[in-house]
Amino acid sequence: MPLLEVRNLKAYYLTSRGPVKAVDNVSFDLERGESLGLAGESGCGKSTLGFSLINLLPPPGKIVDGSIKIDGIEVVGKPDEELRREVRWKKISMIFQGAMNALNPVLTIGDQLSEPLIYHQGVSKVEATERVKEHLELVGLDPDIYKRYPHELSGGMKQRAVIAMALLEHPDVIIADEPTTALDVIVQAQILNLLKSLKKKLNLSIIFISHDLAVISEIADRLAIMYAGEIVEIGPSENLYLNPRHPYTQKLLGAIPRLKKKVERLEFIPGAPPNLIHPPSGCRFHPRCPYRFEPCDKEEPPFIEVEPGHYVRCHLFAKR
Amino acid sequence: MRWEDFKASLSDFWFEFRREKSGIVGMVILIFFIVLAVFAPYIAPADASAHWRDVPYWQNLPRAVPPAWTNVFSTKKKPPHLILQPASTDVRQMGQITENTFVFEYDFTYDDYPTDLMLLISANITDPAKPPTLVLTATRPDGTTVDLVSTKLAGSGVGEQRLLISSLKDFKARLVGFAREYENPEVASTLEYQLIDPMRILFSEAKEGIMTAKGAAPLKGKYVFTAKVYTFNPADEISEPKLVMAGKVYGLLGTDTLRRDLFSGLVWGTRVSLAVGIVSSVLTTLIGVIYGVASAYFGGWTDEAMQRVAEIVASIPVLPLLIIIFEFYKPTIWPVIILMTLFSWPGTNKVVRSMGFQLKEMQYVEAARALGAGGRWIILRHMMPQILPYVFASIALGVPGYVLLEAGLSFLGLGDVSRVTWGQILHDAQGSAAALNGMWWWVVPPGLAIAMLGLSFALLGSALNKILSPKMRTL
Amino acid sequence: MGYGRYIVVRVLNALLVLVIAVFLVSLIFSSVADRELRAQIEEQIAAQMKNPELLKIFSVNKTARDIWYQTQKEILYKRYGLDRPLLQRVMSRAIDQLKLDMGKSHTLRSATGSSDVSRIILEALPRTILLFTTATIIVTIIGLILGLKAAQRAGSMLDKSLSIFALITYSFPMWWVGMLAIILFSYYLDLLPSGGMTSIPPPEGTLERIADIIYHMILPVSTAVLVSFGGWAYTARSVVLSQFQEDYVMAARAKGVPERKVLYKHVLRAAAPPIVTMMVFGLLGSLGGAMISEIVFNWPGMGRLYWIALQEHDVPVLLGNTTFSIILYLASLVIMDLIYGLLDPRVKVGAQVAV
Repeated sequence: MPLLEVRNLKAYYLTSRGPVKAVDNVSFDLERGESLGLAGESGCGKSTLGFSLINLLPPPGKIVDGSIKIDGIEVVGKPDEELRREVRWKKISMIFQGAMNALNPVLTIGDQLSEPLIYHQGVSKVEATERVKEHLELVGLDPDIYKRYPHELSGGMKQRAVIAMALLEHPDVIIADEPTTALDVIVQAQILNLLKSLKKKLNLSIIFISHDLAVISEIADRLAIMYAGEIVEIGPSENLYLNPRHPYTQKLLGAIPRLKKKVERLEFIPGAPPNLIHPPSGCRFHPRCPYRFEPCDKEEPPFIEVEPGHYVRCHLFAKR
Repeated sequence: MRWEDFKASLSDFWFEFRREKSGIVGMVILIFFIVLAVFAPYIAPADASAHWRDVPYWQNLPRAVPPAWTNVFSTKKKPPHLILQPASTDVRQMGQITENTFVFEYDFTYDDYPTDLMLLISANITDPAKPPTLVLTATRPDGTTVDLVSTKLAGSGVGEQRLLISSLKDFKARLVGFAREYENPEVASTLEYQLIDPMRILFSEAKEGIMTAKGAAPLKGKYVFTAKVYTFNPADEISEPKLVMAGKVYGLLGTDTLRRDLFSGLVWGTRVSLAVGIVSSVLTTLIGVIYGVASAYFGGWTDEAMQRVAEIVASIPVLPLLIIIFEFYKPTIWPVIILMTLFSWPGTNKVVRSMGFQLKEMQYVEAARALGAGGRWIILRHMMPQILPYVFASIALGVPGYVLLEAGLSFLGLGDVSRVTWGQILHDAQGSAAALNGMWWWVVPPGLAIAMLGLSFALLGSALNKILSPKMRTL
Repeated sequence: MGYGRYIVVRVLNALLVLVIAVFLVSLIFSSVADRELRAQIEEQIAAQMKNPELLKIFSVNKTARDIWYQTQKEILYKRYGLDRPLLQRVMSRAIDQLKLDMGKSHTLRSATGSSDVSRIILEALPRTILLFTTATIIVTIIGLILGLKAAQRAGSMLDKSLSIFALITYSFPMWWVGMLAIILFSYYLDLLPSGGMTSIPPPEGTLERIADIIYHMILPVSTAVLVSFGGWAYTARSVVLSQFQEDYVMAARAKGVPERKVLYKHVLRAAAPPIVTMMVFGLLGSLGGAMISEIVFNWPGMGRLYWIALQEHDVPVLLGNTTFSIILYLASLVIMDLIYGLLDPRVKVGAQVAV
C-alpha cells in the first residue's frame, strides 16, 4: 500500500463566474521515502493540489470529489476538528515559502515552532522548547534563534526555521511548496542541499512543488507535470528528463537553459495557460500543441503507460 | 487613451456601478442635494440667504413654531400661519379726514390659538406731525364685538409698516377687560397679569375660565376684523393692508426663535456644505497626489525630507488652529476651504507615495525608463493612470470629513457669516437651548442634512473603491 | 532601534511639532494683534493731541507737532514691544505660551477665583480627559469585539449591518447626535440630566459625588460611543480580515493550531499594530468632535471653554486653550506611538541582526 494515495481528486474555486477547475481528476501515489516533484507553469493548479492534500484550501476553494488516503486514512470529508487533531502536522506537514509570510511577524520563532507540540501532543512548554531547539540545530540553525522574531532573520534562516517547523512531529508526508523560490541562488542551493540531506537522514517522503524544473531535478525521484489542473505526465525523473513524451513536457524542458549541452535556441511555448472556468474541450493542451491532430479537440486523451511507471495523457500514444 | 477606449471603459464602469446598490443610493441622495443647491433660489425665497441675519426681514413669521405637517400627527389642530387679505375695502372722505375701512375674515377652526396678530400696511404720509390712526375691532362668532386697539401708526415716510398688535399694552388691557366680564372674579383677581395671554382671550368662548390656560375653550367660527385707518391729509395714501395671524405651525420645517424660516435656511445651506465639501476634498486630494507622486518619484533623501514635512503637518491638530485663524481673520468661504485643505493632504500623500513606490518597481516603468522616458512622461503616462482610480474614491471619501469640519466650525460660531450654513443654524439652536426645550424641528433637519450629505459621498466612495481597486473586490 | 530610542525619537518629534504649531499660533495671532495695537496707539496719540495747550503750540509750529507725534509714537511702540522685529515678538509670545505663561482672562475666573489663563484651563483639562478617555476605552472594547466577530463571519448579516452602520455614523456630527440625545432622553423621556458635570448643588460624600459625575457622564459618553464604535469596529474588521489572508494564518492552521488560538494568538496579535495605526487618526478626529460635544452637554471642559471664550472674544483664553489642545493632541499621539511600539516587535527589539 502506498503511503499517500490520491484518486480522482477535484478541487474547484467556486467563484461567482463559475467554478475554477484548478485541480481536475488528479490521481497519483507516493511511496515511503520517495520524493515526488510537481512541476508546471504558474496557475496550473500545483499549489492548489498542495493545499488540497492538507485540506486547507483558501476559500472559495473546495475539494468537490475524489479521495486522499494518507497511510490508509481517508482525509477527504473528515471533520475539521479531527483533521486538526489527528492528521495535520502528524501525518502530513508543509514547508511554506518561509521567506514570504509563513511566519507570524509578531511572535518569536520558538513560540511559533513549539505550537504544534503544545497543541497536539500536550507537551509542556519546557519540553517543547528543548525539542524545538533540537530541530533548529538539525536544520543548521543556532538554537538561540528560538528567542528571535522573524524580522531579525535573513530569508535563508527563515526558510530553515520553516523546514524545522515541518519536521517537528515527524510526519509521514511533507509538502514543500516552492520552498526556494523567493531566495537568491546561493541560499537556494543551501536549502536544497539541506532538504536532500534531511531526506536521506530521516527517510522523508516529500512532495516538492515548484515551477522550476532545474530545482526539482535536484531532489525528485519521480516527477509529475501538471497542465491546466491535470497531471499530463508522471514517471521516474530520469525517464522524464531524458525521454519526455508529452508535447507540453518537451516544451517545458526545452525552455531550460543548460550548461553542458549546446542549445540552439531556448524554446518557448506560444499562447497562455487556458481559462480554468471553461477549459478547452478534449485535450486541454491542444490549442498550444504543435502536434495537434484530429481527435485532440474532441476526445479527452487517456492516461497511457508508455514505459513501466511512466504515464502520459496524450492522443499521440493512444493505440488505435 | 483614445476616445473609443475611454467610452468603453466608461460604459464598463457604469455596468459595474449599477450593480453596487449602495453606490446608487449614494448617487440618488447626492443628486437630491445638488438639485436643492442649484435651484435654491426657486425652492426658497431668493434673498433668504443674504437676509439670514437681518432680523426685521423675518418679522412676519411666527416665532419658534414647529412645521405645519405636525398637525397630521396631532389630534389637537394648531393654527397655521395665515396672511389675510381684506374681504372688502371702503374709503370715505370726511373733510380733511379720510376713513379707510378694511374688513378681514378669519375662519378659526383650530384647537389652539394663533401666537400673534400683526397688521402690515403701506402708508404714504406727507406730514409726520399728523400720523394716521388705526382702530381695530373684532366681531366674534358669538356675536360679541371687542375693540382691540386704537393707536397711531408711525409718522412719516413711504413704505410698508408692520404693527405687532398682539404685543401692544392697549390690546392686552382691552381684552383683559373684556374677559373680566365672564371670568370668576376670584380667579381674575389672583391671576398674574404677565401670564395672561390676550390672544387666548380673543379666540376663546366667553365664559368662566376664559382667562386661564386650563379653563379656556377655543371658540370656533368666523371672526371678522374691521380695521379703520384715519388719515388727516388728503394727499396721504393707505394701501395693501394685510392682517397676519401668526400660527403655531409654519411651513415645511417651522421657524426658529428669530422667526426665520428653517426650510429656507436648510435649502440655502446646501450650497455651502456642498461647495466646501467637494472643493476641499478635490484640492486636498490633488495636493496629496502631486506631493506623494513627486516624493515617490524622486525617492532618496528628497523623499525622506518630504515625508518628514508631511508627518509634521499631519500631526498638527487642525481644529484648534482653525479656531484661532477664524476668530482673528473672520474669513469668507473660499479662504475657509483653502485653510482646511492646507492641513489635510498628508493622508492622501502617504497612500499615493506607497502606491508610487510599488509602481516604480514595476517592470513596465523600469522598461520605460530604460527606453529613455523622461520623469514627467513616466509620471503622467505610467503612474497616474494607476493612481487615478484611487484618486476618485479618495475624493468622495474625503468629502464627509470636510462637511463635518465646516459644520463644526460653523457650530462654534466661526466661518462665513455672509451666508447661511447648516452648522450656523445649529449654532443658533445651541445658543437658544433648542435641544433643552425640545425644539426638534430646529435641531434635527440641519444635522440630518449634514449626515445625509456625508453619507451619500461615503456610499459613493466605497462603491468606487470596490469597482476601481480590484484588490478590495475579494473582501 | 530599541524601544528606548524609539520612545525618545517619538517624544522629540512631538515636541518639535508642538513648537512649530505654537509658533504658527503666535504668528497668526501677532499679525492681527499688532494691527489692532497700532490702531490703538494712533487713537491714544490723537486723544493726547486734543490737549488745548499742545494745540496752542502746534498751531504756531507745525514741525514741533510732527516731532512730538513721532517721539510719542516711538515711546508707545517701545512700551508695547512693537519696535522689535515681528519674528522676535512672535518668538517671545510662543515661548510664553510654551512656558504656560498665558496671561489673564478678561472675563473668566477659575473655581478658586483666579483669572490666570493657565489655571482656568488646567481646571478644564482633566474633565475633558476624563470624558474622552472613558469614551475611548469603551469604544475600543466594543469596536474590537464587534470587529473580530464581523471578520470571523465575513459576509454574514452581522458583518453587513456593521459596515452599513459604520458608513452611516461616519458622517454623523457627534455634537448633533448629542443634541438629539438631549431632546430624547432629557426633554421627552426625562431620564438623564441634559448637561453639566454634577448636580446643583453637588451631593455630599465622596462616593455620592463620584456616582453623580458618572450619572452626568452617561449621555455624553454614550453619544461618543454610538457615533464612533461603528467606524472602529469596521477598521478592526478590515485589518483582521487582511491578516486572515496572510500565509502565517494558513501555516498556523496547517500546524493544527486550534481556530480560537489562531484568532486570538496569531491574528489579533499581528493585527494590533496596524489597528493602532489606523485608529490614531480616528481617535484624534474624534477628539475635536468630543470637544465640540462638550458644548452641547455643557460639560465644563476645554470644548466649552472654547465656546465661552469665543462668545466673549476672550483672546488670552482662546490662545491658551489652543496651546493646551495641541499639547493634549500630541500627548495622545505619543501615547498611541508608545502602545504601537510595545505591540510591534520590529520596534520593540530592533532591526535585523543578520542578512
